[in-house]
Amino acid sequence: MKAARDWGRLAIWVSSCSAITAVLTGLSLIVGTSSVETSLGWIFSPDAQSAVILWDIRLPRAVGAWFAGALLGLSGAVAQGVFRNPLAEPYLLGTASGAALGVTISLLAADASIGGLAWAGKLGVTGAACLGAAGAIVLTIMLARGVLETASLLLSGIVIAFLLTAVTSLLLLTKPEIWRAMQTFLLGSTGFLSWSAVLLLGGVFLVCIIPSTLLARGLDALTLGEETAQSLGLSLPVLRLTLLGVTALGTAAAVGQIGVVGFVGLVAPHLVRESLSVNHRQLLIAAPLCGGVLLQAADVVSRWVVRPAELPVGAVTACVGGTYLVILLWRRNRVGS
Amino acid sequence: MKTLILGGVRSGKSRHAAELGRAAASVTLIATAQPLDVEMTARIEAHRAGRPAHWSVVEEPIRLADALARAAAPGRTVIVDCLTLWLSNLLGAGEEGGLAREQAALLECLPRLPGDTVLISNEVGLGIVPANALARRFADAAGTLHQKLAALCDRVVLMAAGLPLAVKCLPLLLCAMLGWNAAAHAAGLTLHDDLQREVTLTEHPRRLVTMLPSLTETVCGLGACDRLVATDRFSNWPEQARALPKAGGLDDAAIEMIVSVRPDLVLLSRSQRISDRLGELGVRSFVLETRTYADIARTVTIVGSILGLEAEAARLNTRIAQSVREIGDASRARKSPGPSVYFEVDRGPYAAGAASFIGELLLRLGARNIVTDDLGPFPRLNPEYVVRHDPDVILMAPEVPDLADRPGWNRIRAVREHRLCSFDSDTRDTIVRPGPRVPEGMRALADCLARKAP
Repeated sequence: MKAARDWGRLAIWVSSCSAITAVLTGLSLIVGTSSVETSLGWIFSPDAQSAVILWDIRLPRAVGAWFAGALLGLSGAVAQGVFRNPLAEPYLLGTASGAALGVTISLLAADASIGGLAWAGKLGVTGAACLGAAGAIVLTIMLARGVLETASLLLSGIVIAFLLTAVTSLLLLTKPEIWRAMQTFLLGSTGFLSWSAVLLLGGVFLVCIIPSTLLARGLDALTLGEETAQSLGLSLPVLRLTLLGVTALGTAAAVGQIGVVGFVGLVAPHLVRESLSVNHRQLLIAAPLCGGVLLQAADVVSRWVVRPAELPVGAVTACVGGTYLVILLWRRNRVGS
Repeated sequence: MKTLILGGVRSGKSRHAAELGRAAASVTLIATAQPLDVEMTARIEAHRAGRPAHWSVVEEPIRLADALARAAAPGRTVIVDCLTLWLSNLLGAGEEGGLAREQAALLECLPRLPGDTVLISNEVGLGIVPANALARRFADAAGTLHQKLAALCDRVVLMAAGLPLAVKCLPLLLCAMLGWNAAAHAAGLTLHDDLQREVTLTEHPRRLVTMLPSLTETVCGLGACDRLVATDRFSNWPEQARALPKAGGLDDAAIEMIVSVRPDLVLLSRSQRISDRLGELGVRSFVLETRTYADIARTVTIVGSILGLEAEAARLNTRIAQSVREIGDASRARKSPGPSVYFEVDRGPYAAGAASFIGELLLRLGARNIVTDDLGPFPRLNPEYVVRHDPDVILMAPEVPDLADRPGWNRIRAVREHRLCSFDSDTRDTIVRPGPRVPEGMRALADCLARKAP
């Protein structure tokens, strides 16, 4: 009975998220460097140039932002489940520092044709960021000697993050000019999303969402504690390795395309839990939808506030997400006291 | 690619050769003229003035094949100007068999030369058969030589009234892409940018976006400010550019803004991400990196050819080079040996080393940079380094903080005796932007050094 009601609530959540997504996508099409009236005019009678702006710049941007947000929301929800910690987030395992290192190497390689680094130049900034992020997670797991120990995983994540940041700083010393380009990339921007980026993000999203929802029951069991979960017949190594793989892939893909956009992965699962009482399978369906909406909204806001210029989308999510977390903590404390 | 350019007197042969050479990383000109009389000397001087400053020139009146073999290299365009004088030098040398030997050597070496070769020659056989024997012999020799060369060359162009007529063009597809046809106006310009991409322009762009202040200033310096339709947010000079729509910065370009102003061409510095995205959207971009002092002339020349303002570019380059030389000479004459200096770019402290473009200007002013070129263009220094090298003058790009507060810096002579140069933000722009305002920036540096140097 309760289960049926929960799924019913989830259905309402899913449909409202979809509705908001539709509205935001519509807004994405009319918010930009041109005035709203001009944009509306374009939609009804496009010429060659406005068609490019609408369908090759604004639309892939809106759809890509949704997929990237969904990936971050999913990765965040999975990470919080695996680590049994509500403060876990996609960047916990050194992803952000790995991406920064990747970007730095690629910029260095593009700058001076350093023989051995030519591949990094060809890979482009996005590819290098993605590889760097994924590489950082692999290093973290290797340093923690597997995925079983939560504490050592978290610690290795921190160690790897510091290590990679140090390497990045050293590299930047040799060529300080690229610092600004790297910072701008890391701050996050949806401005460069193209249809090929959307295809990539969409593909990765499919690859990530299927195994996570299939393994969601394992996450439910894990909430009872690792020993209990094992006594329920769960193979912890397989479960954690697969789910961490999903987090790694999802985060690396998102970071590669839009940079290190913070707070979406952290806040999306909390927003879901605030309004629904969910098991993990429901959470893993709802959190990506929420993440998608969050990033799309942030993207629209970033284009709206200072138009025709725009804010870095990472700054917007940090402001909104940070504020929300503070409110959440404040409310919890009040309930607690 | 081997090109033979034929044409009458003043038909635009040299200019067309210069256009072909524009795309090359380096250009060597083999000049065959000998300044034997006043008129010839004047002609040579006129050619010299019209040439881009970065070409290297080899003078070889007789042994052309040897000179070609020495000069040719992959990625380089070697221009021979011209075969007519070389032939007449050979005929005039009177050495029996010399003509046959040199011709055979040329025909033999030409197909094996690496890089691009452009041969210029006068078409002399169109008029009435000459009355004197030497002239007849010359016309015969030139005609047969042209036939043999044309068989070896990929392209043969006949110039008339400054317009190129493609007589032979291989491979056909490439020639079609380049817009090489009988009526080709300005012959479809193909240039390589600093990402090594081939960019072909069928006509000179009329709607430009520049994504770097120095590029904006270069375009305006060539008098083409009215072709700009948007710039990056840092472009604040001249007044005309300030009012244009701002399309973000080089790292966070507003792609939509760029597309919405419908540019024919976007000029930017190296940023793979923007040029890739613009390419996907069908917007042409051209990447130019201006790092050294020599790059300024190169950028001006290339932007000049893109805009079809070659003469203006040559004039601008002459003006810049002349002012820089004058300011440098005056400053060096004033103080010798020059003061030792430290130029702080950023509070890192990052310094402008001798290898940087600012370092080069300081060097030309006779100053001795304490940051030697082996440290790189903008090294991050240990503050102790500055204390140890005790510069006579400190120049600061940022606002001057209290340098005496830095540990040990109160012992530096420049700090003790207040030999500090700082600049307001407009002046700072002229110093740090490698564009046409470089003389102004250099003058500001020179003025300050004159006032502050011991």
